[in-house]
Amino acid sequence: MDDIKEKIKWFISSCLGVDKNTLFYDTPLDEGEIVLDSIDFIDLIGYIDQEFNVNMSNVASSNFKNIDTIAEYIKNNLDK
Amino acid sequence: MTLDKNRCVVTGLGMINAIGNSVDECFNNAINSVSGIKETKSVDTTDCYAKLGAEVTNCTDLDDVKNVGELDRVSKLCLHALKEAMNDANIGYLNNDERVSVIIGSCVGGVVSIEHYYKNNKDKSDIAKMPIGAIANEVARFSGAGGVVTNVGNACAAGTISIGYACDLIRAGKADMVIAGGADAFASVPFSGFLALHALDSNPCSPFNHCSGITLGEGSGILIIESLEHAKKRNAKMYCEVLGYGVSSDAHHITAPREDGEGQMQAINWALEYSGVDASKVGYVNAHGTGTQKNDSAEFLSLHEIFDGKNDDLCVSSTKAMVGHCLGAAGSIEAIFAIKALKEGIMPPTLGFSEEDLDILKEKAGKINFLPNKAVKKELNTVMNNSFAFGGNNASIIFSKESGNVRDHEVKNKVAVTGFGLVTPLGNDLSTYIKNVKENNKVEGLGVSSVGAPDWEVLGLKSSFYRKLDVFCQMEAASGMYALKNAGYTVTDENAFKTGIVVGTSEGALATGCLFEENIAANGTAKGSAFKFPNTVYNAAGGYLSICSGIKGYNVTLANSSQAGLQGVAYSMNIIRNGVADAIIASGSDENIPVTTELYEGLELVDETAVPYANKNGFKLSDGAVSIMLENENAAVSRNAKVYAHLIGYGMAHESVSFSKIKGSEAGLVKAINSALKDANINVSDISAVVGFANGQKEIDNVECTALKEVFKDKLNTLPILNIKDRFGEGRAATASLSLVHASLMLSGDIEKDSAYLIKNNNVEKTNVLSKNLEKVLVITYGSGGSYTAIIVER
Repeated sequence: MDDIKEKIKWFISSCLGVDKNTLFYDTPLDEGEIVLDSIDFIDLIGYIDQEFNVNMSNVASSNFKNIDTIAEYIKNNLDK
Repeated sequence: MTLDKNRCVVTGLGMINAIGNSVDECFNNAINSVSGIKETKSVDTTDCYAKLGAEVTNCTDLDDVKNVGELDRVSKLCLHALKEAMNDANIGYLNNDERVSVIIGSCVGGVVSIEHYYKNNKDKSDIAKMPIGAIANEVARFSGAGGVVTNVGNACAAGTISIGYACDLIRAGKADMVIAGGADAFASVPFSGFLALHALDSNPCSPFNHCSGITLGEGSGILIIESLEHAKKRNAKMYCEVLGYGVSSDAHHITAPREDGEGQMQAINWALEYSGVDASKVGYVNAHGTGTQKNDSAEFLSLHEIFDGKNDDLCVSSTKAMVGHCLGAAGSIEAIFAIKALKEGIMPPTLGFSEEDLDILKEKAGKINFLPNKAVKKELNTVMNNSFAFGGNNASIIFSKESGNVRDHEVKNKVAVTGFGLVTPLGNDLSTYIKNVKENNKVEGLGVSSVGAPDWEVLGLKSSFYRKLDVFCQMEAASGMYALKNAGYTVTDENAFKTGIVVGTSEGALATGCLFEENIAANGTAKGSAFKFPNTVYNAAGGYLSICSGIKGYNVTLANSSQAGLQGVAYSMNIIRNGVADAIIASGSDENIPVTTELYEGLELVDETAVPYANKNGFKLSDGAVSIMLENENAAVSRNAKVYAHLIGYGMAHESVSFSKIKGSEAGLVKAINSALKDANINVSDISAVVGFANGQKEIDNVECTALKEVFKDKLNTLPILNIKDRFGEGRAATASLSLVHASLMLSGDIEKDSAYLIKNNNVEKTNVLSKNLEKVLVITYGSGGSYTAIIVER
């Protein structure tokens, strides 16, 4: 599970410009200093799709609250 | 009535796009509802949900031009349209005529060459074709135009802004004729980027109808615009008059327009106001109408807000349904469609409406006729063209059979320098710069600036904003905000629309475009990054500055080699003199990330030092973003601003040589300096020092020496030549602007003394310059391909 979280964290910091020192697994992604928007989520979803082979179409926004919730969704949908 | 001296007329047209290789072929196909949208042939669409494009596929003579091996496809398209326009206007080769200028808009420039570079083992012959700046240079080289030569890099609004700027130059007395327009080629970078944003339609786009996305196109539109006097003198055919135009900035989002249409409406209303034309007089609007939900709903709202109740006979169409979205060429292509509609009395349609769609349109269109599916005949007197772009840029322009009541552009306002924002490899604030000069500190190692957390904290910008920006955009945003801070200038609801941004750049977003292409060349068109794509357009930096500063007025990005930094200043002087803006942040910005260095090394122009007159083959490459706050002096004085100096004259000229070369273009610099002296109404004896552009590369330095000898003659033996590049390296547009900062700080006394060079007959000597001995300083810059800008700064 931590491996999934670390990969998501790497992507958000390396490819979406978020300072990794302020990004924790429970840091909200839709408020405060980060506020990922629809353009960020296009790339994030594409990365998850490719890296974990998890279909991300029509995923509820509640799964994108933070890295923890994203990882939980991925874990629950691996190999589906 | 518009004064005769302000009347600009269109005397020649040229066009190429997916539905034709000439103006007549394109227009005839448009009014016969012919679409050029087909499955794309030039981009690999494997795994892409959209596969359509509007490409030029039936033109066999694109390569039928001199120096074809030096041209990107975008320049070939542009030259094709240029040839037709010059023939149409009955003009031949112009012999470097400094009264003829070239202003060409583009969004992605030589992006086909970028693709070729990455798919062909980094072929060095592609490098000089990549920058947007190459296009206008090629137009100047072909036509022999020798005045202002530059490119407008404002993405999808670039073609329209180019026409507006052309008229500004004529009305300011700076040109008799301008070759204006735009060009862009169909390529994998924009296709992949818009695909990543889910902004491409999988079906042919149908603006104001299905609004499910755009279809990309390619092409070029060129207009020959002349002063009425010049056109009459040579008995030229005249299509129509160009009246006023408006350019505004949303200060909202880098890709999406404001939903309330505020910025769009401001641009349209300015176009009407500056034209002296009532909304009721506009018969036809060629809309931006891209086919995206966000653009079309905002534009739909804007058109209704402005015209409803005033104009019950308005017709609107989007020709993008036939020629696709031609990006930087769109504005000029659509302007030509509007002009042809005006002349022929028939308006091209918007395609793609089914019977059911027509019923829905009837319900929502109100009294506006969106010309669905079929062309409509109508006697027209006045037409409008709208273009809106990434970066939140909006532009609107009006053409008419009548002369309108265009506002007089008499030079009235004095231009004051009131602030500086510096991002340099030697630090990011003014006091550091002054200290560096006093201590003669020089850039060691890589010439790379740094913008980081301390800057964002000082400027009050949040991570949610700046994390989106690439290096170039971060540097520009930080320097612009520092300039506002240094000037003590607060952007308010009252002054936001009278405050503008002009960014000059050599390479702009080129490096980001390279990185984007490198990724998709390796991983496929479907793997483009939605996050990175918005930063591949040259005006993203100015757009971000608008967003973080709240500036909503003029916002233009100019791209033509290093001298673009000062070209932006000259452009800003024009706008302030006209009274279109009270204040402008004029920036010169260029980055030096590893790709940049790789490209310059590929051109064999990189050396370890930048010591003027060192007779080397290259220079030390560096970077920076340098923003200068320029204000109408009355406005500056009324808010008790510190005035560092005044800008009293500018001149720009071009002497064509191969792009990426400079040798043999000395005459361009001589003309630019003489033009600046004339503009300032002074002569060479009034100049007390020069800030030069020598950087150690022998061809560049020789041009400076030769031209200065010709202008100043014996006076040159005792005329101090200041130079900042031995300290800062060659930061291109950034060091061009920094040269002006240096001159201003010496005139203001903030820098009391500096070392300088004396160019004697056979050697160069060092000397010292005291601030108190300076009254008027000439600042000069160069551009590869032979473009030059000169500015005169006064105490």
